[in-house]
Amino acid sequence: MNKERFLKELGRALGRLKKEERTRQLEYFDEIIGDMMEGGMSEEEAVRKLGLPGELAENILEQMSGESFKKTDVRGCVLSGISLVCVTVTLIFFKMNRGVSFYMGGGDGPTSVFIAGRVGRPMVLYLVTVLAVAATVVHYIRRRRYE
Amino acid sequence: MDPQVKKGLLEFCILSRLSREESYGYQIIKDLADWVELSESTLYPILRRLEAGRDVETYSREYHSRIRRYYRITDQGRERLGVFNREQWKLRRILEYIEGKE
Repeated sequence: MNKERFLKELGRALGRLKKEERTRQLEYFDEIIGDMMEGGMSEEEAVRKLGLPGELAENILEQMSGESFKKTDVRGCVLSGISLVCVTVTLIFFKMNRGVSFYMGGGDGPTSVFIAGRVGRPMVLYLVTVLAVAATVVHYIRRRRYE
Repeated sequence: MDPQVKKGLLEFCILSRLSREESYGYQIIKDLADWVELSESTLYPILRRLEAGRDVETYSREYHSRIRRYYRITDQGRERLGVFNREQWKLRRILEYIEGKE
């Protein structure tokens, strides 16, 4: 296995770590391989001496402290959830406005009539939906850039 | 050697090595080889831990047109190493007890 492939596989195996931490580790092993080669080893030998990327990663992950790992993105989950609900409700309203026969699960006659009676052009709903989706997209773009 | 005991001692081996002279990953492994076996994947998390605890600081320097990261002991790291060495008699007493001499 050559260095490039080794580092690629190691990077993948360290996917649970924050990007910054992962980059540091790949730099470290890149440097070690470079030093080994300067000491007279071939690239293949150096990589073989380090071991398999998967096992190496396992060994390292066991030793790393908690803050090196990616955190659960609570804000992202909440924003995605809100967006999903808004989009669903909006789509339902679109369908109702078009006069397509619509059946809401569990909704009996009076409920449907009640909802249908209120369908006009719920601009507030559209606005909230657009804002929620926009906020979610911005959140993920910023997160990706930050990482 | 027992991995748990070794793990604790390795931190001080590395601090001691760096207290003599700043160094980089591969060199540290080679320098310690006569005293304690240390693999590349063991060294990294220890260096990272020492850095996070501010016992060691790092900087990058170009070497033969590639980047190498150097590690340097801090005053806090020296202090920690000093405390460990001053208290070595405690460790010796424990070892003697384990051995059954006391």
